[in-house]
Amino acid sequence: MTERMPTLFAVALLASGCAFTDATLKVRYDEALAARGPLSSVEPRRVEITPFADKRPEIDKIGWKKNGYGMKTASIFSEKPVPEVVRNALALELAKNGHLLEPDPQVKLTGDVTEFWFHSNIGFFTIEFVGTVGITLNVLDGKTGEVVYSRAYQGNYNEKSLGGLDGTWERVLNTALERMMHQVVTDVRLVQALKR
Amino acid sequence: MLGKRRAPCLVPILALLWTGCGPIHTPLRPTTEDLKAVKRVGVVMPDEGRFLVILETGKDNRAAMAGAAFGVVGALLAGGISEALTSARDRETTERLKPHLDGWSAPATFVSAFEGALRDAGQPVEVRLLDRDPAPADRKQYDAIATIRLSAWGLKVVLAGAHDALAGFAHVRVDMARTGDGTTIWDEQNIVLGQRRQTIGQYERDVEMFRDEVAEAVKSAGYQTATILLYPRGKAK
Repeated sequence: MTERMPTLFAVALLASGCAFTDATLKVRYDEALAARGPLSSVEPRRVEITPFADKRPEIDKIGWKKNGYGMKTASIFSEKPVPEVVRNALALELAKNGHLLEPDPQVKLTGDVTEFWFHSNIGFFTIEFVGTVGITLNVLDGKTGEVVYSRAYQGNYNEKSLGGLDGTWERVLNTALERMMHQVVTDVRLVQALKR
Repeated sequence: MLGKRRAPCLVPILALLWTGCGPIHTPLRPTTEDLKAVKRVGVVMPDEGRFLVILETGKDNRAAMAGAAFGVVGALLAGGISEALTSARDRETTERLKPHLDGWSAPATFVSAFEGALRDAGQPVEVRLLDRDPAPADRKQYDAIATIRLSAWGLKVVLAGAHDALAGFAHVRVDMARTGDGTTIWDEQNIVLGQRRQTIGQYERDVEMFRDEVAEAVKSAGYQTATILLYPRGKAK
């Protein structure tokens, strides 16, 4: 029996995906994703992005691990603060589209992170992983502070598999972030607001 | 010695567990490379969607899991919106609000926003709306055929709490395959939300706001679907 223990332990560990230990994910916006698009139709603007406010219902984590009964067993964290991840994504896109992140801005961007959450739905044979990222973005006149545009954006991504570990969870959340950013950078009203 | 005898049994178990971590279904979105040679797209849009008010579905699951009121959209997406309206309250509210949308067409609103976005971008992709899936001989005139299903629209809870906040929503499923090699390059579903966060009571009292919110969500869905075609990103996976 003693000889079987390491084998059983190894199998149990793989099967559970270390369900009882906290995980920290490297959630980030891939620099290679930033591309020229509708935002580049605006002549280069001096833009300031203020730090995003964290308005998520749970700000200390980005998800929970669950066991087969759907009970919470451990927390999932982001390596970097979530508002910073979102702000960096926006900064990358603006820079890629020719805008200048400089002082004395013509345009100021402020925002709230409203959702940044990973969760899993455990089925009989499969697990569905779901990532949701949501923000509210405000465009302000850099001189007067007047809000010229405000909009909520949300990105979702879900993937079904027989199991998955940190790498899968990271991919799910990163793709949700990517999809939300796609909405931001292709928003024609945001482009119009930047042109003002 | 005993350990060595067991090793052959352990290998397939570990391999199964390891490979089991690969996705069974991964949504696909067309990349820049996928769309390089796609200039003419035939779009089929079956008329099969329905209006829904979702006050309960997706919320319980999330609340039980998270103990908090967020991510309701993701949970619903994962759970399958087709299973919505399992609650009597959802069904009753849907029936009560449905007549307020008489004379308005969600598919027509979606198509108008979809075409408008393509037109505003200078039609880099020529899109033709088709009544039905074209016959094999006719498929050749398109580089790709897309089927866009606006499967549901209406109001849904996005912030659960003492007073649930609802937003307009549109649920869209898209699949698109190149006609040349039959490769599927787009296979995803999405829920697009409107901008308001109001209670069901507020929507029922202000019917104009209710109509506007639902229409706005459907318009956004049409626009966003077009932008995926217009501004693809990344390399083919």
